[in-house]
Amino acid sequence: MSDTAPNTRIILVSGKGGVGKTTAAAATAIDLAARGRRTLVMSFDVAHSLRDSLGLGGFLQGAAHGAVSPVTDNLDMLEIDVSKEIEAEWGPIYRHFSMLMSHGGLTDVLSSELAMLPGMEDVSALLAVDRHARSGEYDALVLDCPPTASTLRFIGMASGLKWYANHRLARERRMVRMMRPLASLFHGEAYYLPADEFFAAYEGITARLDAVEAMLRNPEVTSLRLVCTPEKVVARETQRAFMYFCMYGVLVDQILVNRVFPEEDPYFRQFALSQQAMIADMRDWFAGVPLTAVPMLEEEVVGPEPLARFGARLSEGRDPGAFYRQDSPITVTEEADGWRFAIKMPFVGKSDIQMSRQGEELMLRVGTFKRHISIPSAMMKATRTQAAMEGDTLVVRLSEG
Amino acid sequence: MAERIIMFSGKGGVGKTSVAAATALALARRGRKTLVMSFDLAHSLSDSFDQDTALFSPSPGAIRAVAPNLDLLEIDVYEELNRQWGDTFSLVAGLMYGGNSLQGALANEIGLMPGLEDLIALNCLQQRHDSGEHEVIIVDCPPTGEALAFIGFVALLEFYVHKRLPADRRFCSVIRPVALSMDSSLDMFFPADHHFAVLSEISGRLSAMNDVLHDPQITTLRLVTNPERIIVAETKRAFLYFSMYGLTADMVVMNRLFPADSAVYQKRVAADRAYLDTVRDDFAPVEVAPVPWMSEEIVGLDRLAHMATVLYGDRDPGACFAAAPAYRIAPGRSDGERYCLALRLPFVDRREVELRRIGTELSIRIGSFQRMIVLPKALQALAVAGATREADTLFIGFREEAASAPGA
Repeated sequence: MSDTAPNTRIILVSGKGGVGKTTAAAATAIDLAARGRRTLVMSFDVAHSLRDSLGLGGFLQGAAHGAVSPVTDNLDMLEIDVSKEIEAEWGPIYRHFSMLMSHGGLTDVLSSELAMLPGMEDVSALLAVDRHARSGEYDALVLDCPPTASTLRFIGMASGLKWYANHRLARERRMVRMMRPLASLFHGEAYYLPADEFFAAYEGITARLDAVEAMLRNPEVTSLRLVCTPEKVVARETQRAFMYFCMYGVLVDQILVNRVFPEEDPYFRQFALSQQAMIADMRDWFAGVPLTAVPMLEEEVVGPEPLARFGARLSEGRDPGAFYRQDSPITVTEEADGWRFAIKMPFVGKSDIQMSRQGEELMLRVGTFKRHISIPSAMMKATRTQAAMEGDTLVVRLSEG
Repeated sequence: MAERIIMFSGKGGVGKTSVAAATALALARRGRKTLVMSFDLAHSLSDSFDQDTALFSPSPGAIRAVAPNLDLLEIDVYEELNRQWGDTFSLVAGLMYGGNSLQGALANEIGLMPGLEDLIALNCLQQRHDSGEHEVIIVDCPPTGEALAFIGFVALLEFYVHKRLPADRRFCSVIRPVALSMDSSLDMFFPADHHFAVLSEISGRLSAMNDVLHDPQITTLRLVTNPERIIVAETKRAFLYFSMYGLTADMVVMNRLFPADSAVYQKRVAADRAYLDTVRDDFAPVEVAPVPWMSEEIVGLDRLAHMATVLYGDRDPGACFAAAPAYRIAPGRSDGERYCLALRLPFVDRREVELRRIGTELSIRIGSFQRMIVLPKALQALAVAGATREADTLFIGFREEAASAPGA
């Protein structure tokens, strides 16, 4: 996909829910736009708060809802309207599902809510990223991502869909074509066999997902800013998230520690001291990744000017479009007798990692999340797979057996 | 059977897990055998109790004792899948994802499908409830959006089982032998009869569980929120939607108010105080219970117990604080009305009801009372026909708008 790689810089802002992701994303976008970059800040969250954060009042109706709207010079924003994206991108697939549901007469008032199938939202968001990154209209995209678990799930799900497309789709499509006349014969209608256009749409989407995933994993295009607060529960989730992003091959180039209490407030003094200890621990855990700490402010950060001031705290004088760190979490090198995959996986023991090789794929699983890594066809002869932890890096060697 | 189920939901990061854990601990200390369970993909329940578990939990899915009378369970969806579901998973996955079933082992390779975890979580809750090992079950739900999907899932499954399954079952019983004689790999398109039987059985059990979730004598929902406009807006939306699904919210916990004795954050103290008053209108008749920022992170038994004392005082945290859902959507009450939104309000005020549509929201004003409601999709395309009041309930009628496209 490198031949079509866009020049658009992508900055993902993610972290546990409620730590201030939307504010950080909006502030980063304001900073970029002030530096003359044509910037689009977009949010995936169903409960959109980007518009509120930017201090834009009012409601968008009709066509304006879910469409790109201007904020300041060089800055546009987009809150994705999932139902519009779904109609635009998923037409035939959505119709198949809604037909299945309406066929039995689901007339309850809930049906229009239920027709939104799980998973469609995430994939729709990824497709919107693809569209805007390739449009050539923007120098930078800033993405206000959903909480970590959902962010990880959609990256993981995209590879799952691809897996399904590669392994099963062609065959199922052939079967369904063959079965359709037979089904009609016996039942009068073949409504629950997907129409051919279902498969065509699925394949088209899968190919684009492949491209957008490659973009998100390209450390020259995309980096992720991981937002957290200096509290034990959040810090532990941040460690897990950091590991998973490494495993998925996404470059994390900043840890943003938000809402640090000041020591001067007697009420919060004890809290502040334990936060300082936590920040010291985080500097150790995430050594090599720039860490920026930002205080709990006296007022909510809403509107362009407060955001610009907040943005300056986040970038600490740097260009927010720069890569604060360049270190791809996954590297592949050729060795005398095969290939070496080095995958950075901090904080996990070897026993926490499940790995298997299936033909042209390497499957890694830690806890709830798994990742399929495609093995290039040049390496297919290397059927022997060995793995070992070297420090915080999983090294997998493929060689001819 | 458990006597009581209390579900906690809210936007991510508002302190939902802490409040759930604090409530569970308070109940356990009152001598009630309590289970606190989490469905979230990103579990933080163990972290709240300061259990020194490994970062990537090595033994997920097992019930652990964390205090006298108090057990904890973090559900690992993969483990449940492998342990309990076997090949029926392939059928369910197939029904959910395109009408064609995938073979079990292969389907498992695809990975975690959203929606499926809801089914598994619900099944797990049903098992814990039926086992009767605990008097009270506290559920730390995923963030609001995902929790709603979880509640809606039973309706989806019931719909399939009642409306579609009998036809599919008949169809497959006829066509399966023919299809298999042509090509044995067609097996996945025409499930064997026992799959349908299993699915009916699961659906039956989950429907029974649904009844439990809808009984306000057994199950109530507590929404956790923070004094910030954006967070409250999402909580209001969740409040309406959970009510639509028939769940009774019996408390809104307003967490992280700035304490009056903070030296630095006086501006926020004043803003919070003013805000709390307006928020009470948004959730009436449900109580809004304030909890201030604690002076330390709420981790470990002592701090959780302190939080529970601040939140509940001397009250029994296991009590049901409300008797019915605050909202209900019913068929229209007169000719031309398609639906009506019934809203329980705790006061009778003879003044005029003012209704105004603003985009996808509806503003309701009765004297000094004011509330904005984000309308559900089915009502957004309709016009407001007017409001009537009976006892403590306000009925707002919706009718087809002449100019609007139907089913938009």
